[in-house]
Amino acid sequence: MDVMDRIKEQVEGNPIVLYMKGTPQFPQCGFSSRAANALQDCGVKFAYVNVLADPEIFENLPRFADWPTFPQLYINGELVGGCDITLELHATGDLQKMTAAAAAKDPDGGTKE
Amino acid sequence: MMQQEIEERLHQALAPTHLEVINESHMHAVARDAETHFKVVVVSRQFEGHLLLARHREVNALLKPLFVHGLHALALHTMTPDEWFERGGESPASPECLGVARPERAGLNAEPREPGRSQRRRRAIRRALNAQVKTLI
Repeated sequence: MDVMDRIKEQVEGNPIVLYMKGTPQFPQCGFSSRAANALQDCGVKFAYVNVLADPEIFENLPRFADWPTFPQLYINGELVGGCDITLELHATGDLQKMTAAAAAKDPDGGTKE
Repeated sequence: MMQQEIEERLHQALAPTHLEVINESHMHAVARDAETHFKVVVVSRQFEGHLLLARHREVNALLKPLFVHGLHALALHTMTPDEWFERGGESPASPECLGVARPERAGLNAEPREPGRSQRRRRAIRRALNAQVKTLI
């Protein structure tokens, strides 16, 4: 499958997807770590892609939504933003609302294969 | 110079009332004189009525040519003059890098021992995380 189709499938098949360097358990970048922490704090299930584990996605994700850096957070298939926007939304309480609404539509958090 | 280039582009396009471009490359695993990681605080009336995502897109678009010339990371804080005033002229600190292999942090060099309280706590956090996240890749 084309890499753009793979990314599209990931963000549309899962209500909340974080593209990050490393994993939430072992983040490899301070920005990714903070974004993952904010999502964890929201208490909803979320999917992630370790961009360091997939060179093709690492190369092409910036083109997908014309966003140059990692991490990138997608909710309901839409780019929400990078680390700074995610943290800002978390501080205002909006991230909690957005993730709760997205998770409510899909109570399994896209965890069904 | 990357820093100057960033400053000039943002100055020309956004007419900021306040602009800080800080080279934070030293906080990351790059060469000592690198110009790869920057924090940008830009306060402009032109952001009024624009969502955060749109503001970041505007700045990213202005700096897009620099990303192919070595710019790697941008911590972006985009505010209107009113928002900047409300924050008392403060912007959040950027994170330290986690990318360098630090065996002592990962506990790779640690002697095997009985799990202590902090280790049990870390394991509990990791177990909770494992249940909360779905690994796509």
